[in-house]
Amino acid sequence: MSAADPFEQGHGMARSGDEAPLSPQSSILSPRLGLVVEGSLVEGLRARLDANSSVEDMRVGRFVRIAGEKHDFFCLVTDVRLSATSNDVLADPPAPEEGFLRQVLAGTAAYGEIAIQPMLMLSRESQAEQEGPRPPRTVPIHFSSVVAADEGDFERVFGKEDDFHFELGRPREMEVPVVLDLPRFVERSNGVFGKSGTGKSFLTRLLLCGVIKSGVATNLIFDMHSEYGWASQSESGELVRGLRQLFPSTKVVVYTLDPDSTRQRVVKPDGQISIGLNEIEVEDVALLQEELRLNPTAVESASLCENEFRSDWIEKLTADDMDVADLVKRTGAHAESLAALRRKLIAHITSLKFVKRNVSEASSGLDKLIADLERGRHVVLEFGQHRRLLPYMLVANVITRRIHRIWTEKVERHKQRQDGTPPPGQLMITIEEAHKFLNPRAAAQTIFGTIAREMRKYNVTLLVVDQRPSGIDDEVLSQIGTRITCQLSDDKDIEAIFTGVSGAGHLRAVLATLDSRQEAIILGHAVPMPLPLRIRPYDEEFYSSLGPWADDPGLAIARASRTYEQLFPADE
Amino acid sequence: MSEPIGEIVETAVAEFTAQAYQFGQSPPFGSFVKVELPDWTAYGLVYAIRSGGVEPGLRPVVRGRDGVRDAAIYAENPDLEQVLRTEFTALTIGFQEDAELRTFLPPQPPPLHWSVHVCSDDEVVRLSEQLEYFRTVLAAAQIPADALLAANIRLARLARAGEPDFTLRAGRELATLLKRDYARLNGILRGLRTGD
Amino acid sequence: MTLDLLKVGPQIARMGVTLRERSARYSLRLARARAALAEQAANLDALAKIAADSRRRLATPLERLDARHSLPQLPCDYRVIGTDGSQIEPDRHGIADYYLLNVGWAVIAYGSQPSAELASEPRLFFERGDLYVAAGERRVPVQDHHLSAKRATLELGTGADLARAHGRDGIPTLVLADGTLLLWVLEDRPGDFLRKELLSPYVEAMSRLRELRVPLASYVSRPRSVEVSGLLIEATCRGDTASCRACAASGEGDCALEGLPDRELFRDLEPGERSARFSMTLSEDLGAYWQDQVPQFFYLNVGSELARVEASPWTGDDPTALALVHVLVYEQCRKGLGYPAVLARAHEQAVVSMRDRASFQHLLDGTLARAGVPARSSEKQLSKRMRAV
Repeated sequence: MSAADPFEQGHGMARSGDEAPLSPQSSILSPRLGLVVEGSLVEGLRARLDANSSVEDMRVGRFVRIAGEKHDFFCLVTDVRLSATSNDVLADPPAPEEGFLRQVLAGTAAYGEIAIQPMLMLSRESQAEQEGPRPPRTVPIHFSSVVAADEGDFERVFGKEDDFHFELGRPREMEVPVVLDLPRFVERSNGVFGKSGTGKSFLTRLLLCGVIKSGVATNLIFDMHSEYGWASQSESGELVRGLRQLFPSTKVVVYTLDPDSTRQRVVKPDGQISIGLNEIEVEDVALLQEELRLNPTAVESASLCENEFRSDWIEKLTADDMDVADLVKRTGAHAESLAALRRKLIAHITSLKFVKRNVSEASSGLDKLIADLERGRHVVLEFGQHRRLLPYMLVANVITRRIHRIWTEKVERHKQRQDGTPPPGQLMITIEEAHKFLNPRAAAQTIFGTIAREMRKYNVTLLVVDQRPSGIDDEVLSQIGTRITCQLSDDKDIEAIFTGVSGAGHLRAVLATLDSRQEAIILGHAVPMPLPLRIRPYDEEFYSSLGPWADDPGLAIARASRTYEQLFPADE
Repeated sequence: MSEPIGEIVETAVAEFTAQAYQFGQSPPFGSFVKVELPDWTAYGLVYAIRSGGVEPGLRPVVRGRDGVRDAAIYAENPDLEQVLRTEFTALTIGFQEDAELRTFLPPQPPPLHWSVHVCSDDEVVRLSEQLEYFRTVLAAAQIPADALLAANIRLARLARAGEPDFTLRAGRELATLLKRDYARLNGILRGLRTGD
Repeated sequence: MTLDLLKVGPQIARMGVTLRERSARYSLRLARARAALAEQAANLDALAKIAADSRRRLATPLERLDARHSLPQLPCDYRVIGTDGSQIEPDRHGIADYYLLNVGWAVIAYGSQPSAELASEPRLFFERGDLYVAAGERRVPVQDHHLSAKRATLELGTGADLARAHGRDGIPTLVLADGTLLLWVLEDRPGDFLRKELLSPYVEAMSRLRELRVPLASYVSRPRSVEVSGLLIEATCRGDTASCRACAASGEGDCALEGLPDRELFRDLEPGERSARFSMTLSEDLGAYWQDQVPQFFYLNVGSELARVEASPWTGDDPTALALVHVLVYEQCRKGLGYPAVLARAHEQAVVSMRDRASFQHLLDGTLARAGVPARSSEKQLSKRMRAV
């Protein structure tokens, strides 16, 4: 699918003779920027800019094409520099008022150079073109022309927008959609990174909309700040729509941990989630070790308690009549640690509103949520006022563990029986503050680490949204399929983004040039090559691109969806 | 075709000298001239203009006196224009053969006694389309190459009214050719700047 | 091998003394000569008789000897026609008998519509009738003086042709020749049949100009003629030059007038001034050929020298034409920087350089060889030609 479509245009291309290495497209549409003068596959190429090409137009990250003798090379500009043919020019530069001299010398005696990193190459042999671009294995010949990539080039590389190719944004220098291969995207865990205020949540919303619209995966979103389900305010204070307003309730449902808060916003949640103490495992507490300020011994004590009381361990441990001294005696746990554990559980967990001392599984809402997911409904779980990390991590971990268990079972069943039992649908779980779940310590023990490492084995993947990618375990990072990165300023975070990416050195410079808003560099599994993008605006135009459901503004949607629900009850 | 302006009296592959049919009526320094032969056309740039007696023994002497000067000298001595002659020498910059303009030297010099024409504006436009002849000029020894190019570019600019940036293009071509000689480049460019 | 200036120095000093002494003597001589002229100035009839009777060719004064005429007004528009010629002599060593005359000319119009025509016309003579002057049994090859006479005739004829072609628009026109108008080269052989053969066409050309009413003059630079001083000698010495008492009385033993070029007598002319007009006086038999075309002359200070200007009698006798000759010759010398411009131009046109001669010879040899005429150039000629190339 992806191979044929993007190159439809390529079939129509006339092949020029041997003596004309430029493809007709380039010679007609794309102005030449310069000529390749030296370089290597490993270190990248150096091209001398033509006199007419201004250095100031050569932004790092620009997508260019080199028309080699036998191949087209698709490349990124990774550096721009000023050079001169002789030191005399530098010693005696023309004064500012000598306009003509400056004009003449600029581009000739003193000229611009760009460093270019080939990202893909495409043979001009017709059958090779069918196969699509490949990673470069060689470099173009000397003096090959470097041309600005045109619309056709973008389409040849990235493909066209269609049901499974979602426009995430546009390149900086032209109005041509750059699309994400959604089936490939959901195959693996992905990341949205960027320091705060760079538009991560908008980007995430865009991605979610794309996935929802195409139906390539079901989403579960742990919505820490209650910004995905219903309308929320953008950074500039505008009200932007949530997923629930853009899609019918047959597709998107919103669950909440905090019904009061949800109702305050005059929206009706589709379900309510409570967590029973018996659903919390030691693993969850271990994950919260930092938040609860527990020492390792306390976590060990928890394990001992769990051994003792099974799933009721918290309930028992935090019961008013709990005889701690007796428990210490029985389990051999460290007395002070156990006491501390008990104290912290009472203070921070059993006190949570949505945590019930004894919740029957039927009434927890969790089963309903999972059933929705199984039916392919996308679920946004709002945390309402519980927007601190501790409840977020606790709930996310508890729920995800359940889901993972179910999905794993289903996949295993499907494999063992091989009787046509369908595998569970592809599920993408969105978590924020991901480094809390996936830091080296947590990743080793929590369910998220497992999912990230297992990849698509059990049809569950993560979409991690984070501003501190350096906090995420290297092994997990290297398994992140597609990374969409907004501006980052911390060197360690930048380093982390490129973990496991070859030729990352060149991309670092590109990342450094990102605007603080609405720009991102996309690299990885779902795109053929890295590219900096202007993220498409999340606005009315985008809403209407999603279909009829998005047409009506504001809460009218919500009313319409309620009407719809009455006709087609959600439980069915 | 235009009236010829002179006739070749000395010829070589790299340059040819013509005597102007009218004393004092030489094509300007730096202008394009051509010699049209049955099979090919030679093109040159006028780089030297000399006037003197028609014969080696005829040496011009000072004639101005009693307030008779300059043009009045010629008015008072109508015979002067007959015994003085103007010669110009053109550096061959290329030739046209089979409708193709070649920017290298022709296999033969244009023959003696063929007429030399001044190139029309259209021809100047065509000749200055590609500026490879700059290389020939810059490489020529013992001619005022720098001044010649500056003059030529100024003249070509007048013919190329449709290309306002011609001087810039020419300057860049020079800058490319003279990348190892910035001082020389600077000199020529300063000569081009005037009149901008 | 350098010049030893130390040794030359004293010799130069001695030379200076000698020259100074000679100059002083010459001044004295000139003063006496002029005194003689002043003494005879008004004695026109007597002088004419002396001139007519003398065996020497003397001048017949046509006005007071000491007359001076200042420069007349220059017309606004005028034209001067000058001719000159050169020749390639018959070559006895060459491959064929021939000679070549090349006449050059300049027709220059001055004034409101200046123009100039400079050209030359070569003519090759090779027919028997051209190569020899024949009268009955006698046959004389045309060479040396005879050739010069032929050339002069051709020059004058060309002048007449040009005057006919150009001189009809009412613009004052002068035909100016180089050297004397008198074919004196023929004087030595009185009665010779050659005179008739050679002089008649010359005089006939003059007549053509007279018919056209175009003044004819010639310019003699550095004239050495002694027709006036000779006249004075005969006038003062009573025909006995050997016993000139006035001269002898000076104690210097030589006559102040003897051998004195006429021009020295008119040295006090201011630039632009001309002397008295004289007529040449020819012997009777010679005069028969010239009829009424015996040339006249006067001296003219052209600024750089004292030149002798000759004119046809109908020019000299016509005051308007005479004034035109006077002013135009002066003006021509001014323009020509000491020598009439038209004559300089005509000469340039006429001259056959060594190089031209060689080219001509080459052309001739080649053509004749192709025509099957065997070459007979001598070794000497060959070597000469090699050098010329």
